[in-house]
Amino acid sequence: MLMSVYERIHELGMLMAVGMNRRKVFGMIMFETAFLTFLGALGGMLLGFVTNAITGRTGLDLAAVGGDSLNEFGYPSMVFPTMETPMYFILTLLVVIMVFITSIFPAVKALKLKPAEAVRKE
Amino acid sequence: MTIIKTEKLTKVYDDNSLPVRALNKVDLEFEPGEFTAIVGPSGSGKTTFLNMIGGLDKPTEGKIIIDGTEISKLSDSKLIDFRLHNIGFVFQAYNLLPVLTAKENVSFIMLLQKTDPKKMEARAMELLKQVGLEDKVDVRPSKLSGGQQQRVAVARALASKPKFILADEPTANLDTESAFNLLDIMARLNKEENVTLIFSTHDQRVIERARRVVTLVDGAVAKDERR
Repeated sequence: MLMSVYERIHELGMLMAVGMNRRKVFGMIMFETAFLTFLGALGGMLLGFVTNAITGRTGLDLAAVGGDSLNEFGYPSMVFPTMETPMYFILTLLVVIMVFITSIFPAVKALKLKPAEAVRKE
Repeated sequence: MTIIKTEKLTKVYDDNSLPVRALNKVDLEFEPGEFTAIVGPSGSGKTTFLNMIGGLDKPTEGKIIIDGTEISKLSDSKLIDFRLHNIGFVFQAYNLLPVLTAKENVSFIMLLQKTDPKKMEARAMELLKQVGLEDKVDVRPSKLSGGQQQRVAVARALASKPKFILADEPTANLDTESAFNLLDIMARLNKEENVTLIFSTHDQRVIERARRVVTLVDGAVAKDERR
């Protein structure tokens, strides 16, 4: 999001210059973040669920990358990943919270832009 | 009737160790319907002056009165609202939103003003027709030439029915034909619709069209010539 704000300094400066108030600019960046986070979290949750469902049944042979090292510690090199359903939601929630916290910085950065400078920045 | 008045307008930039006096006690008045070019060498204060009367920056000293409102005293949020309803901007780099079509670029100012959607659509179409882009309404900026993009920017500036339009070197990135085309459109709008235009420019083509030329040197008015 920080990159997105930097890349769009002209745009954000112009929006503020022509009359978009700072509250709306802040809201726009937060909304964009929320939208991307929602899509990413949903996609990630689905992908994780499908991957776990498949590998939980077929198993994941870690010997291909680690050789017998797991066996030496008394663990089988074939693992069957499982995850309780609530954990998907907990992890998704954590990701959403993290993204929101990290998106506040770029949004605040955008609020501090001086439109006169932003529209001229190369 | 004066639409813009500056009294002893002064701007000092002191971000660096050496303060720079970009504007020095500038007293100017603009009447409705004027077509003014602000000229002068680089660093003479043209852009600073435009930023001041456009409410994009605040003066260090002096007053800016627009249509009876002293904008130098407005809070940031009131100033943003004032700009939305009173001032149109045309930037050197066009500054259109790349993801929006020409019509949407013109409309979004009216969206900020909470204009009725039907009226918004009709006005956007009318403005794009006025700048000769009625066949490009659904085209995005990346598919338009520089001259066409600047014409969309002019339509956008007019969309909010501003009291005046400020244009910061609007022809600087345009070839001769596009520049003349843009100037024809702006001169027509100025004459037929009494739109007040204030340009900062180095461009002789703009200066020749202007009916008033204000020359700034070292942040002060060196010459103010009406034709």
